[in-house]
Amino acid sequence: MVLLETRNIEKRFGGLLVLKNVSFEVKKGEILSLIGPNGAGKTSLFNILTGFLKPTSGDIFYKGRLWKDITPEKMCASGIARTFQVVKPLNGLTVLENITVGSLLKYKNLRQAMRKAHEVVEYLDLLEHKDKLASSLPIGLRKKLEIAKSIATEPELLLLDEPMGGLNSGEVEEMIKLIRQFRDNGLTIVLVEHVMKAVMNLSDRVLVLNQGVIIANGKPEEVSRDPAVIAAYLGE
Amino acid sequence: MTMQRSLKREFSLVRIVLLVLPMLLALIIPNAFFRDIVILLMLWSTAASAWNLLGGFAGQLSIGHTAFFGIGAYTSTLLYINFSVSPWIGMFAGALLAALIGVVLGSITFPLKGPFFSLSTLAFAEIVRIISISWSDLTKGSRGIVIKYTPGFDKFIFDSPVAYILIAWVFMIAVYCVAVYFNNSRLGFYLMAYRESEDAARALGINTVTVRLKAVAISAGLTAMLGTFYAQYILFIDPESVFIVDNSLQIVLLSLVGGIGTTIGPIIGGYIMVPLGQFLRSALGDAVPGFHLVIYGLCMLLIIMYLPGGLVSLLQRRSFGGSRLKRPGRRRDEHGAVGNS
Repeated sequence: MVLLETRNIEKRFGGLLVLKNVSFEVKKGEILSLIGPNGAGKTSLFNILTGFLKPTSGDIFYKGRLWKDITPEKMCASGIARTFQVVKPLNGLTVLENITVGSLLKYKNLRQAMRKAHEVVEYLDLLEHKDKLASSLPIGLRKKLEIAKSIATEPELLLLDEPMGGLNSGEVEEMIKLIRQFRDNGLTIVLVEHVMKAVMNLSDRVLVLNQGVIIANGKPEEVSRDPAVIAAYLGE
Repeated sequence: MTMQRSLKREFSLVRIVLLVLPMLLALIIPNAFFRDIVILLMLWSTAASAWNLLGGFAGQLSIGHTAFFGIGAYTSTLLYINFSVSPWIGMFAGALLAALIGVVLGSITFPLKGPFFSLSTLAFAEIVRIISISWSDLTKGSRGIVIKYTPGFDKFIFDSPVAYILIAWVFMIAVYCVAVYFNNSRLGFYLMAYRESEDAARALGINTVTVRLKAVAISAGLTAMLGTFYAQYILFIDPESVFIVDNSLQIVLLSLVGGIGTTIGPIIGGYIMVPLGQFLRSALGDAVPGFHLVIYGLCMLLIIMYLPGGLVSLLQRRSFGGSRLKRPGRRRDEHGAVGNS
């Protein structure tokens, strides 16, 4: 079943074309990685899919329905959660309170929302940090908190923007394990990532963007051998 | 942390003592001057607490709240003078009007960020002040309105100060309870999320405009009710007393000094700064003109410099209060990011 589909997405910033005719599908239960060199348009595409940017043209279908006037809050409410490349913790709140803000989407009662947040804290092994202010966490835990907040909204589709960025090798291993667990629990995941080890290990499919155009779409091992992809990364 | 544990903290013994103390003092003190100070202390503490619902929890630093205060004062007074409507009813009419105006103002100004939002609220307050002076057929302009002293419960005029003390105290407790609700509710969490990061809040499904409109309506409405109390207590209002920008600044500064974004902070700010201002004016007002204001400003500066989280952080250091008291003091963490302590 196709969960998310884009058709001919185009995005211009003035005279600069950052996405051109981007069409792809995300199937339920898969991990789709979106890779490409810096400036390829990955984050712009993420921002369009979550309503932070409006496409210049093109359509987005979610569960077969055409989505018009997308806003981030509408997308989240309908089951699409995202993380940010530069993490955005709610610095003045504790870890548990951060996650509670996410769980309040589905649980209107604060007590129930906190209970749900507690489950997420335990699941992500953040128990010993739950009462710490988000601003006091090191980067590895901030990345985890970013994911925890999104997970607490109980999404169907999770868009992860460079969750491995800035992590050491041990933390990368842990994050890979975690993302695989999410998928095993039924989540569909779109992953933007530069850490190739994670992309190759996790992805069912890889989509390669270069200068706003999809240049490859296939299994990780196929994509890694694609001459166009090698040229995009290493140069002609 | 469960909700009950959090509520226990909000109504701890220390806080109950702090909240009851001014009322008892006002009832015990025989001196009319000191009693007046305590009543004003409760009034401005409550106004600061009402402002804090928007300014502290949502981080929307309005410096135009005096407009809501004045709208409340004028609405109930004009209804009373012209149509003999009880100020008790006028108080709710003023609150409703202020809430509606707040929502309209918020719809226009919320897209503005940081100082631009603050300046727009200041401009709004000035517009309302100028209208109140110019529309003299309705407001009697700069001459102001004298409310005839005819005591009676329905007229919200009392011959005994005890009634004013109790009403001011009930207002203070009621607004404190609203702040506690904010701190322990979905709405409050959403406002705090917005304050910390608008993008993160929106990505978590929060309609940041709607939650802020709710906050401004509640904050403006409560501030307007205090305007009615002020009018009925002083029995005279004019644009320079209820619409003046000094009121807005006082409200903001009390919150800053006490602890912005906390439930008890703005009230503590009022406890310290209102009596200090009155004391300095009576002690130094005759010496060198304006000297008492210099000392007042200096005291405020020292508190903000050495207690950036507000006076409420003293309670936290003594291990009263709880984790929420740590929140609002902006500081830099070890990663260089600005956060709250």
